[in-house]
Amino acid sequence: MNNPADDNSAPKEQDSACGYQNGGGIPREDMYGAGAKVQIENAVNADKEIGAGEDLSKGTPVLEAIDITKSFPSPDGGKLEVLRGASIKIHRAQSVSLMGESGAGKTTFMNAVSALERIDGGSIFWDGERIDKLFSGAQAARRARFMGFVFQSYCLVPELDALENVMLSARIAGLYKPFKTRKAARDLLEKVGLKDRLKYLPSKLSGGEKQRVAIARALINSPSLLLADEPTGNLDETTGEEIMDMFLRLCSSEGASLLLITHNPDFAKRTDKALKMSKGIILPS
Amino acid sequence: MFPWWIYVAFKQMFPSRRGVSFFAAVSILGVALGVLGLFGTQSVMNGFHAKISQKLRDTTGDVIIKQGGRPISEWKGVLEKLSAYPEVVAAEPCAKGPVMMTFNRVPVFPILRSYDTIRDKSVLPMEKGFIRLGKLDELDDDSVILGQRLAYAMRANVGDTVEVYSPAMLDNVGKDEIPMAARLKVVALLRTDFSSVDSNVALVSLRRMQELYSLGDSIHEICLRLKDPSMDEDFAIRISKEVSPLSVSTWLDANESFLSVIKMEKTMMSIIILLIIIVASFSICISLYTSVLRKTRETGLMCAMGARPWHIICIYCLQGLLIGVVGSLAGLALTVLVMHFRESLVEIMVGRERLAEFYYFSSLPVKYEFADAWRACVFATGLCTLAGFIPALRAAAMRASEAMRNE
Repeated sequence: MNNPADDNSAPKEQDSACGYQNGGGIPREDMYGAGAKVQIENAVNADKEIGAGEDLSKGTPVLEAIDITKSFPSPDGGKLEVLRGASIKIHRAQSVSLMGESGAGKTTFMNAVSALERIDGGSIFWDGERIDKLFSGAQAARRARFMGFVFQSYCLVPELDALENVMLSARIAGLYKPFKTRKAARDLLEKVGLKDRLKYLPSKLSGGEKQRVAIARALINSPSLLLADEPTGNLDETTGEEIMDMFLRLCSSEGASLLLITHNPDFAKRTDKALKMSKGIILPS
Repeated sequence: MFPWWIYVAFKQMFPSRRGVSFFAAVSILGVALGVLGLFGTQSVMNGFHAKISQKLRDTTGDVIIKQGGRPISEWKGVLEKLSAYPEVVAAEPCAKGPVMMTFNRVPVFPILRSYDTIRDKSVLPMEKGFIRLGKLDELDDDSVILGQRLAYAMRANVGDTVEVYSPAMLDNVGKDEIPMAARLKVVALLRTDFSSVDSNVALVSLRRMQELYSLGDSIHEICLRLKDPSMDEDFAIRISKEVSPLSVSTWLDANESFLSVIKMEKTMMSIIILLIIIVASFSICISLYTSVLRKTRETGLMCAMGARPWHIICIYCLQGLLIGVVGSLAGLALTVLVMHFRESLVEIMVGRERLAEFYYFSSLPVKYEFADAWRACVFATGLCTLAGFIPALRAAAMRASEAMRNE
């Protein structure tokens, strides 16, 4: 796959006082100019190879990652290439699963597209805005409102009860409004079946209940995209099924797109598009 | 609406439905005890300093006029002039020196001080109830007032007669002569609650003192008590030319070395007790550091949700700051509480008599100074914040992607 954005310098750590480097926060057509439009279309065509049968009439993708490369220093002093040109495109309200053997680079890819990890090459767009070249502070501010996360370990703050844990995400994103957020959090916890557990501390909740809280927390800011890394990995099969049912239903009802990393082919089948990753590359489905 | 990181820091210390975390409670208690130790010691030392200063003023006067250690013969005119100053409450001619005193063959060597029975007001503030047994009015040339603890030491009481030998008696006797002791009747006991006076001073009339020391009409010094004791230095400077060639000094000059020892003692004790707060801050640092390591995933998730490194720094520094502030305030409150019951504590721990024996007073004096409280609080809070800063840096350096991998 050729990367149309190769001509751009690879993302570097921020050096601009305002937090932007070239092109930060600018729609990609404007950023590259008219000539670049062709290249971008190439990228879209490249994506077609990945997402066979997808509907391009859905407009600007919620997430578009093009030819992402990422390597880490290896213990022997060399480089360990984890991502070798991985690309993905996720449209609004679309659910995409990503499977692959351990060490294929799934989590690194998720960290890369969520801008938790700086990439070595390629480009990332959130709702058409190029993200990878933004200053990390600007990335964090956008990520807080744009994305929700669900991890295998629930990562609940142990000192906060279920309701407070859900509202914390809104507080960090700067979207917290005392009554409105509380009501939204209550509603979400009710939707995930924890109406009676609002005031429970995480230590008093079961694994499934904790994950439900984590899902409610991921949805509280009405994010455009949900990233879920093995959300049922710590749960038994039955609970995992229940959680996944509820998760997919909620994503759909809330209109959020989903990138689901999973080892379970049954869960992968229930998403709109199932992708496989191998050796740092997302394979055509 | 306060920032979210304040909320998280506060909640980590005071979790929902648990009130206060064990770490926060123990840390706050540690800082409070440190501040109690520091501020309590400083307050007691201030109390000692203030009380000793007051007693020294009471027993020596605010301003003292001397003639280089030699007796002053032309003192009456000077005394009259100084008495005329409106600032002067009392001006007293004074003679004093060591003597040997015996009663029932028990010898003691107190300082005998003159008391001017002729003038209305003495520099010694007898109106403060210094006379406990007997009457001051009965003091004449053939009687003596003994310090209470001195009387106890001699087993003498009011109505008994003691024998007094002065150094001048030895000078005046010829070869193969035995000095004749002055026999003085004890007419009262003096209790100033200042151990060095009560156990070491006896009062006689000025005339008797002049006789015992063969002074003739001379005296050793003129002592002044001022309306406003804080003006002692200014007043001393003002009168120094007028009384020349006599030298003028204040009570502070006369007791400089003694007072500087108390100051030094306060400083040294403060430094030693500061170590308690430093140790407390180490504990806070270690606990917070452990907490950072334990909360790796939560920290990673907060970063994923949009937290910036400085937010994470603020969360942990704020915890240190909160521990410092709450601990300091609790420490101040504890100090006031402990000091309120200090007499009972002293009674239980050392006993009043032993306190008086070593520390001059029969009760533990306390004086709170705002500057001490402020310094103790700022020091404790600063150290605790710093203790939070080191783990905060560790937490802030954590990359969200790495933190989430640690699971």
